[in-house]
Amino acid sequence: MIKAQGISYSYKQNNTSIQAITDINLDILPSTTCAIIGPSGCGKTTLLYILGGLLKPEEGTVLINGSPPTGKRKDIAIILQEYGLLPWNTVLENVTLGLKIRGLNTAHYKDRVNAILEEMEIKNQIDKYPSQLSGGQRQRVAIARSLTLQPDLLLMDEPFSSLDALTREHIQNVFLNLWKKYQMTSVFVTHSIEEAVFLGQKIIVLSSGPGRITEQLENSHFAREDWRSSSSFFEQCQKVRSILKAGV
Amino acid sequence: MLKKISHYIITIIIVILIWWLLSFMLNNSVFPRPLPVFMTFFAVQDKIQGHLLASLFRVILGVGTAILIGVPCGLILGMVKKLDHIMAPFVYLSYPVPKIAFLPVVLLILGLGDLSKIFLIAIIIFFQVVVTTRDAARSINPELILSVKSLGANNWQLFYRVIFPAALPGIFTAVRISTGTAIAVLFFTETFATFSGLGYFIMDAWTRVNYIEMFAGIVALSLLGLSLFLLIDILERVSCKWLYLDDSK
Ligand SMILES: Nc1ncnc2c1ncn2[C@@H]1O[C@H](COP(=O)(O)OP(=O)(O)O)[C@@H](O)[C@H]1O
Ligand SMILES: [Mg+2]
Repeated sequence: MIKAQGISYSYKQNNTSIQAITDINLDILPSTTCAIIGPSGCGKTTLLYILGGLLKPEEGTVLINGSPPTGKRKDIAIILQEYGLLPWNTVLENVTLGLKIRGLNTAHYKDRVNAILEEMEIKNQIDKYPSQLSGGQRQRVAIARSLTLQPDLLLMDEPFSSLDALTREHIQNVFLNLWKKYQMTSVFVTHSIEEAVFLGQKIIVLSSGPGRITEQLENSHFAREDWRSSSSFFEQCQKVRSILKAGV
Repeated sequence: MLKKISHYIITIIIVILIWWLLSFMLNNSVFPRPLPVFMTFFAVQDKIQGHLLASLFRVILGVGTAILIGVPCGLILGMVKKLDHIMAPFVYLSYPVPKIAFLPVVLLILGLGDLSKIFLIAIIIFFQVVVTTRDAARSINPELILSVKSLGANNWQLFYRVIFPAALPGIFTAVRISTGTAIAVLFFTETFATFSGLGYFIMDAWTRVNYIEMFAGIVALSLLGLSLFLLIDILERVSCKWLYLDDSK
């Protein structure tokens, strides 16, 4: 699904250049989930933007299903850190934004949109504006918006980090159910070890900036609700923690 | 809404009270009391209305032209950094130049009619509108643009779905500030070589030493400004609904 080879990126600012990531190699299989974890400022957001085609890598290549990502590819959905909802649009307008931007007649997609709204438990909120919603509801609107385009790749930037503990767990489960149902390849960035271990089929650990890959872990027990409280879950967390520490 | 209206009424009463107090203390015919002024204001309606319409026409056309040209310019400068770099010195140099001083030149070139007045109003507030709109467009959260881009938006869609609505509150601020300036400029342009407009009405009453009529003109000009402000307020509430969600309950 995703093949990235030797990608590097640096930001240019007032004649200085800040190296954000260097020499990242990735191979993410279709219909899997992948967690990218690293300390803040290590280039996680940058990497996600590159995978989503919002930034062009300075070096290296990214291929999604064999072709480079462009902003126009309809099967990649990106949910950014602050959810990217338009404050001047209602929930319904935000959810159908992708359809409208692609010039599709939203009336034809009524059933699909309704099903997604129900699935995301925001059916009652469609006339509200984002500022009237809680963080968890906003996140669900953002997920709903990306689902309307039926993406085969979902990229998320710290999707659950600004939510309170209970809401976070709830939305993590909502996400897992969606993933089991639609099987879209999902890559998400996080700085939470528990989140990476709970949701990531593969865990990619980045070193502190400029980010490079310290280690890639297969994490086959992911996505099991009952695993969260078992001792092997904590062992796995411990392992990720020590790899993270080694990379700082 | 009702609360707001009563708030306005109370404010007006206070202003009139202060006016009355001042006129009482000054005790000078140059500063008449409110009551005779309001009586004259209604008595000379036939005469005033024509002047009011002339002024309204000039100020709306002047402000309208400045917005119609200034807003797109400001949005483009806010979005295209390179263009802003090239234009910024020009804008900053011409911003503080007292363009009102060019009134004689404008009168000579564009004639004594409405065009020169409208032009002067437009050119003076044009820079205010450009600078304020540019700053509004600059401060848009880049994440919003990226996320709408990631949904496949082209530049035009980005413009009308993200950049324009994001800058709209800033544009209204610009319009509000510039309407105050526009009325001041209007007054000034109407005091020269013209026989219509509230500016003329006020100056004419002054030369006739009719201070009460002069004040009636001042009241009319204030009401003109006040109604423009109210109009802008209503337009903002209608077009920026998302900012006034708590009020509507
Ligand atoms: N637009 C930008 N201009 C300049 N530097 C940036 C920009 N965005 C990010 N950076 C820098 O690049 C590095 C990586 O940033 P980012 O990808 O946001 O990290 P993370 O998401 O892991 O916190 C940081 O040092 C950050 O300061
Ligand atoms: Mg980040």
